[in-house]
Amino acid sequence: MPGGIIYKGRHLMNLDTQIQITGNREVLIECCKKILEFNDIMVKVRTWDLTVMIWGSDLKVNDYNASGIYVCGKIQSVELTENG
Amino acid sequence: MLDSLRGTALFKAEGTNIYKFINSIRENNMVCTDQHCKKGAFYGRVYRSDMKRLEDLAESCDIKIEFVERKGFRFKLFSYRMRFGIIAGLIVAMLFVFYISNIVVTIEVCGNTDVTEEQIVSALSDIGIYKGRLIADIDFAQCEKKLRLSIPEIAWTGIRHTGSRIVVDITETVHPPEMVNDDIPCNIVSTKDAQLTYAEVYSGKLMKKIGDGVKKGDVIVSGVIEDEKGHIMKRHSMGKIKGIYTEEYVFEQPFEENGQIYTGEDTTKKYIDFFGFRIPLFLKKPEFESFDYTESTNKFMIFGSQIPIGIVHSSYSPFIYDKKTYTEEEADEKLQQQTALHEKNFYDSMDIEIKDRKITSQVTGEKMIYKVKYTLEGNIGMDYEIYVKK
Repeated sequence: MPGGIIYKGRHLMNLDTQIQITGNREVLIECCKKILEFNDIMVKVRTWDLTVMIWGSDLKVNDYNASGIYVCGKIQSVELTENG
Repeated sequence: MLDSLRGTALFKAEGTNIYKFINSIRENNMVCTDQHCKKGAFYGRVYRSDMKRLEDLAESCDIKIEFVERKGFRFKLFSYRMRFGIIAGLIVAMLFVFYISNIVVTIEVCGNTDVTEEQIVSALSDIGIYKGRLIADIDFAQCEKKLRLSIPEIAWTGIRHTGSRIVVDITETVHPPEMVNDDIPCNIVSTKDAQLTYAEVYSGKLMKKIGDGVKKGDVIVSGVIEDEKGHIMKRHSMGKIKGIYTEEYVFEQPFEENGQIYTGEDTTKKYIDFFGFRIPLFLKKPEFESFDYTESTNKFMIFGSQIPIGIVHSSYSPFIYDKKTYTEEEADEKLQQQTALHEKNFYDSMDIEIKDRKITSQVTGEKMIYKVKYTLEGNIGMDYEIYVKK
């Protein structure tokens, strides 16, 4: 089981990365820690365990002061990379 | 909607530490929407309340920040802050609403039948409830008592207010029916010298036949009855007795008398009735010593309902007291009016039928005289108590 007790703890405290994709218009990334890169075709964010790259066009970020962010625009792909 | 109330501002940020700035916004718990990049600059939208904090944050991150667009009600209000007219208008409007909510605007009367609404409103005005009076200043319990005392026909009254409307509920007194003492022995006697035309006897003995002539004081229905065995009993006589009789009246009209002479300078003035207050629509008040005054109010309507704003038409008919001279025709007309008024008041209202009238007019030097001989048909019976020796 990857991560063992740390994984279970994060799961219990609801700190897992949750990604919700709505059509090709919106991506909600919960438990976002940091925005690493941001321009109109790519948004790169880091969560606890992943780096999420969202590719598309006319990308915009809405941050409603929760732990997640909304990435809106024309979404083409979502790439997930495990943090090293 | 909420955003437009709170007000939002779109900012443009440029600098080398842009990612530090973006993440600082998140870390400082600021809501930042519509974040996007355009021509190498970073844009975002924050609430008005966060603008100062954002500027401080930009300074600490060495970012050049500029607010490019401001949206929302608060910014609009801010831009109007020097328009004192609007502020004064708002204050006046608020004061007006407050004032109108606390004064009597309309008075409604419910439950009255015999007592007119005008009578009640006039009595209310005397005891301190009138249009324009401060509602908080009215002692309703005291006014209810005073209203009952001022109009004896009112048995119960309840005065309440809903907003600026005063509702007066009335219950009128019910008069007890007239008591008939049918245990007192009496006759029915004639009140006139007449010819009997109709008799309907409920109790007692009819002493005359229809068509008989009777003199004033004659017994028509007797309450003294003798039975077959010769016992005399005294009863209370009851019945309807009608007869034809004559009456003569003299009406006089002097050719010269003191009275009101209308000058003919009738004037109409208008007021705006605004929630009970009258705003004159003229500059000069009518200056008459004595005048007849009538007024009518036309209220404005909105969607079929009357509103407490309208126009009052006040009519003044000025007159002077002076000697008035009548021609024979005018005096004749006056006498005809007097005769008609007499008939209306004394015959029509008392169910007396005028069978015939003979008018003889006579003109003396100073006046015209009408001698009117009436032939009338009406009630001629009157209860007359039989006094019994004990």
